[in-house]
Amino acid sequence: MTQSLPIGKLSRPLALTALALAISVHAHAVTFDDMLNDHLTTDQVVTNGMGLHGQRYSPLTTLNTDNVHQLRPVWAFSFGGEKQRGQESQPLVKDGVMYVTGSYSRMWAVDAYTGEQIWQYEARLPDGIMPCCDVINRGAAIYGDKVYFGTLDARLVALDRETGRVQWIKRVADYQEGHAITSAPIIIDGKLITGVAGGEFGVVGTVFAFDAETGDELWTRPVIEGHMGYVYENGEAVEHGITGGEAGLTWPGDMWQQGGGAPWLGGFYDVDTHSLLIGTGNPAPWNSHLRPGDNLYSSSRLAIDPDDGSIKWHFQATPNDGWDYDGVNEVISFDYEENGSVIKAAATADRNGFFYVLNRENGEFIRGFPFADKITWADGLDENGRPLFNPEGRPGNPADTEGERGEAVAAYPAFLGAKNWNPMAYSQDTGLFYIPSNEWMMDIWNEPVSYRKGAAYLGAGFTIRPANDDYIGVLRAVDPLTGEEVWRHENRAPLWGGVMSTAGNLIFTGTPEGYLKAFDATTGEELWGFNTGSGVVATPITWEMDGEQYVSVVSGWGGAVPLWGGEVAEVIKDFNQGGMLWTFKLPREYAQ
Amino acid sequence: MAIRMHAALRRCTWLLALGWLTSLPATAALPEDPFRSPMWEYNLARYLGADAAVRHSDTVVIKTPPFAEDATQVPLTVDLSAFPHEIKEVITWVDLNPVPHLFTLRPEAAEIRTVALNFRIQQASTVRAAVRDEQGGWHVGSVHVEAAGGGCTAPSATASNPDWADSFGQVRGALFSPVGGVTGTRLKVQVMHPMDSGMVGNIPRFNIETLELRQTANQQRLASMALSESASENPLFVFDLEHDAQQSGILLLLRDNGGNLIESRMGI
Repeated sequence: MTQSLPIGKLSRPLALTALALAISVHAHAVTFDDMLNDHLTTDQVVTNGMGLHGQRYSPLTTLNTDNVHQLRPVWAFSFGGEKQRGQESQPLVKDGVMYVTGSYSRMWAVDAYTGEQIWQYEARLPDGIMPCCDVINRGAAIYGDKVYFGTLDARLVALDRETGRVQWIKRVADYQEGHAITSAPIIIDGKLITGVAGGEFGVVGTVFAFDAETGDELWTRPVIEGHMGYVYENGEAVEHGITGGEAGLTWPGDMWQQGGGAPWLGGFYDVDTHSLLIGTGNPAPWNSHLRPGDNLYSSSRLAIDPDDGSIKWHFQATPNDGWDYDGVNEVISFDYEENGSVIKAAATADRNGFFYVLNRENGEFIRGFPFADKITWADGLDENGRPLFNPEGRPGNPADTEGERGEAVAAYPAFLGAKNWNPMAYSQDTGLFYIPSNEWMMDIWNEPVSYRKGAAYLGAGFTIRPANDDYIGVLRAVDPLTGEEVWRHENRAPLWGGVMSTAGNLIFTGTPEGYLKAFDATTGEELWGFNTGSGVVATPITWEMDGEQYVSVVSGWGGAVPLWGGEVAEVIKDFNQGGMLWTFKLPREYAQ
Repeated sequence: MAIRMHAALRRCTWLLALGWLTSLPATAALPEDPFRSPMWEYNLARYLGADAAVRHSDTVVIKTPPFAEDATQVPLTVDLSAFPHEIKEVITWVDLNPVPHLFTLRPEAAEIRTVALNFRIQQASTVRAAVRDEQGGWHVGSVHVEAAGGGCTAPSATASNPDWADSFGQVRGALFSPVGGVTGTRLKVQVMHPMDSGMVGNIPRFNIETLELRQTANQQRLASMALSESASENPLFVFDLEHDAQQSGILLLLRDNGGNLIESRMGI
């Protein structure tokens, strides 16, 4: 519409004016080049994933295994209010300002030196939001003079970086159908791309692209077979091909119409193939006997052309998924050498317990192996990466038994996954992936179900149990070339935070017990820990300012585990909620 | 950055002090406030500028109830039908509200002779309307409203309604012809919006910040308005426009601090 009107001669509060002045001196527009180089740049973090490929590897060596014990907090910032709930956000840093999102669709700009708040934005949410797995947010995107994030009522908000004022807000999908946005959006060459959550409510998973500057819709791509994708030309939706070619190839009847597959975790970008690598969620309903067939492209990884939303290739980890093994987990691009040639690979650790290495140029399966200790639903993978199903591992068909309920099975891993949303990291030095994983199982049974808008669409009952008495979480260092587990670190509570690696031979991750911890990347030795006062289920970052190396992480227990964790409650019931952004640094005098 | 910020802060403070000193003569020339409000000079300086030429005027007529039965919804009408000058700008405020400013109205392609909007009142207070004429002088009308108070810090009715989002942004309104054959148009419109002031615990500020009236046919702007936290929930606006809108209709455009755009076509 129009520029905002000045309010008479109303003067801004003095401090605000001065602060805005100070920032504007420093604020530079964030370019796509900044993002493409984010994994090489040490003085800023302008992408979710610390690089568009999502490796979460920092080339900084100032902080290393020798001096990490001197890492200490320099400031902490409270998210305030009564809205303490799960905090899964990765902060961004640009020009000495940190941008961080929090529970209930809030965002803050904070002085990265002092922790002083610059501005705060709180989305006004309708009471009827339906996030399945806590009111969390996983982070922002930054581009030009704006910062962006998605809200629990499935909207995208563009805020002015300096003032926090809303530049535009866009409804992406209908929250009353069960849609929500919790993942960090990604910017690819001026296009703001997001998925939506809602697979538990029978929505059709869709990827959306918008013009980052204006908020105009650019394309939509449903990820379930049979649904039409669109590109927008002069504001008009133009048909751009049916996903999967046509309806009914891998879905029976009209089940594809509420097929789920929500790409709720967003994606990463591979510059070499100009692809958005994004995962899709579980098919709906959970009861797989209602939808015999592979149910493409649910529980899959997709390479999508960011220019028009076309699907270049797909890899389905769990065909005819009957265990809620969403295929959303991050696909991380990495290169390795084999027989003198460079392999352009991508790796992903699935909820279903298998680790996959794919050729990211064509999606072909290179190799795969279990990273979880026990998998019951499949006996292994064939040469194309397709699971060798164990018929005993699938919950029984309710039609085969008397009464409503099908036969229950004890399935490993549990539906919360051998690894959930929390991103792993790749070290370019060790060549290992560091996977925050969990050892748990579930009893699961199927029931009849029919679709109703906005209602849970599961057709299954379940309860989760720890697989071992003394630990659930396992931080694993895994070799993507051999499948070897080089080291592991066991944790009593399930791991729900992301991992970061650094060239200082360090691995960082948080625990629900409240600790941010640092490990030796080579040996797995625990070198440092700090209790943040509430569970850490977010992802740390590191960067440097004025020659000193900083580490930040958000603390605040919550997420899906306390809501869905079943018997895990015994372990986690006494954890308190929070909402605090912690920043640490290695003081100059300890740097070597 | 921190160092620079402090320098900038210091400089601003110094400039402000200087501004205060030089404005002293103008301040001294302000007329006495018949209501003897403690905020009289402060708010004049804040909203009209430190050296504004200000006079009381009985042609700036403010109509409010003498007692605010409902402190969250106090009807206010600014009647300028007897105002002898051209109207460049109208600024209203409630002296003792936490954020006193209510609205700033700027007529553009249409003269506006009456404007009405309901407001919140935090405690018994003087209410002001200042009108800027074509010479830049300000004409101030004042009334006193008794109130039990709390209007700005009470939760909105919206906040306790779980279905508020269903009616959010709904606009009810119409154009009316004035009686007596006078040319002109009355626009009366209510917008469903919580207008949260941000002063209630755990309910962030969420309010309409700008309003525009445009001629539908050619998009010509008739008037624009800026609103602050003193405006009431589900605000009811009335404008008497010296403008024949029967032919082309009027477009109402609203934007809140959440970035929501509300658009409504009146008349045609």
